[in-house]
Amino acid sequence: MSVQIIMDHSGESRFEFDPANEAAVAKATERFKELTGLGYTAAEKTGPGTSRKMTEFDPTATEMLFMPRLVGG
Amino acid sequence: MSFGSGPVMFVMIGFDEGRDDVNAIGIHHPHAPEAGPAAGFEALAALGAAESESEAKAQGLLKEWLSSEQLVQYERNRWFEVVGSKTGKRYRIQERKQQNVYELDAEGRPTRGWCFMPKGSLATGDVMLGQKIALETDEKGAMKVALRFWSEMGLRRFVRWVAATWGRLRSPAARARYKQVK
Repeated sequence: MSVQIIMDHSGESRFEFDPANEAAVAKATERFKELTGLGYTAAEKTGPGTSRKMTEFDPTATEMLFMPRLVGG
Repeated sequence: MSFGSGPVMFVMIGFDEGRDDVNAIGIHHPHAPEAGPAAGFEALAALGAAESESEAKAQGLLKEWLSSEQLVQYERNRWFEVVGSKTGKRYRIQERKQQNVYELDAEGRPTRGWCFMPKGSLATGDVMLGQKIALETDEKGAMKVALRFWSEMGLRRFVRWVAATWGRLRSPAARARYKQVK
């Protein structure tokens, strides 16, 4: 199972999906586009403590994190 | 400006004994039921519990995404260090929601403080994780929005330079050179 994690006021919201299920992947792709369209930054966990920024949906990514866009304080 | 008859959110959270149109979490509504002190405390307790839960979830997520070295640093000091993806500079992220990112020099001393965070009302762990990912994957983008809130003062930098120079002059190698010249 793969997971999309969205940072929010409750800590996080998780959406799991089966990468072998076409419908689930389509929904995950749609969620990715919607969130990045809203300005969220997507990152894929690539190893312990390492990650990469995602600019487009990758169905092979097993753990994706979405965080709201950065602002200066 | 008119507030009309719709709900208006007040900044203050609590209850106002003098008004019966302000409920326990500060929502102004003309038809809101009267909120007494007990209801106010219950609502505050519920808010506190929700905040604790979100903080705990965010802490769990942060720890999942930290490297083992960062996790050791964090559990020991309540901060961890990251390396910027573009410059290779080291940054220290402290356990706070803002004004908590420090750029470090080669000796690990803070030289500048930077303030940036993911937008919105997020738990501390989420803010720290957002800062870590931003610096490790897109340092340039993070620095574009970051605001500097602190930098090493000129006098302090001068004192450090004097101390370093004094240390070099007193080193055995420097003394040997001095004796040779003499």
